[in-house]
Amino acid sequence: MKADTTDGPAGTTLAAKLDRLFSTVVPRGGGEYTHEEVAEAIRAKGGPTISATYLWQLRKGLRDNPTKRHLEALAAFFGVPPAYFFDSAEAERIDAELALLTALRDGPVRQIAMRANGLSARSLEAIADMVDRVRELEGLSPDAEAPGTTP
Amino acid sequence: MNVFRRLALRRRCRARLRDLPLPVPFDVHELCDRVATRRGRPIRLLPVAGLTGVCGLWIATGTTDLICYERDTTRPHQDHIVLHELAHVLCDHYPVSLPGKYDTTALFPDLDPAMVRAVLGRAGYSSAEEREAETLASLIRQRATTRADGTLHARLHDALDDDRE
Repeated sequence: MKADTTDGPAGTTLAAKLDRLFSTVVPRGGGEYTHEEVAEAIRAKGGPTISATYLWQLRKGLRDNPTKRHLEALAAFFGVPPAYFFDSAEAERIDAELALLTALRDGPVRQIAMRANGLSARSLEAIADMVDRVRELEGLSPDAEAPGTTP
Repeated sequence: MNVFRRLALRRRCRARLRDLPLPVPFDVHELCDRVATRRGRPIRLLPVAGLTGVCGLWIATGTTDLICYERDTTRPHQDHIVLHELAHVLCDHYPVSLPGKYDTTALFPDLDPAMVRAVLGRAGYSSAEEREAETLASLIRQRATTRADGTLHARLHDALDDDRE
């Protein structure tokens, strides 16, 4: 199995995915994990040896030859399924979830509830979009159509 | 859910229904306006395309309740969706004074819940609130249709309804 490290649509390279994980999975009240922290945490859990420098190179796209075990250990550390690195359909869904997580983390939304029976990537994107624009939507008249949703 | 908990749930919902300023003839948007006025918090209804699989969404901020519903579906279905989300608001499921809660398993089925908690600093909740909202929504619907058809049977049903148990 090989990670998708070749040129593809924007944001689908290994470097882009790793960068997204670093910038999204930020513990509340703290900063981004450093390359040293990630390398150390993977080592502490008995994972494969990976250096902070090599992690930085992967993230910058200077290297693109990680082993499957490296990618599995990185997925476990950041709390995403390993398929994130190997399966583009799965990656699309997971990216939508990560985008929603960022929108909730940074925005003014206090609660969110819904009836859902299995969310598609498109529904997740629609939800993230609502959450992103919640300030703008708050100011609309009570029955206005959400701008930008007209096909 | 056992029978006692189900009865307690219906009783709570009936009590809420009694206090509700139901418009006659019934209209969901008018009901939202009345509830918003009484709560002193605006409720915005937003038709959104592409919510298939979600139907409806309630988003609460510090000042406003937003109810999003699928734009490309029938009016009765839209009313049903809005009513369910309004029921969440009416049940005060997530009092704004408390830190927010998200249904993390529904929103982030692929992400590690521990990671989501670490990022958002909040806990998930169970499906109990969904059940309560659906119960209240269906009671409101029943009451609305009973009033609307105005037949002898309906008026009797209304008069004899056991909502003062």
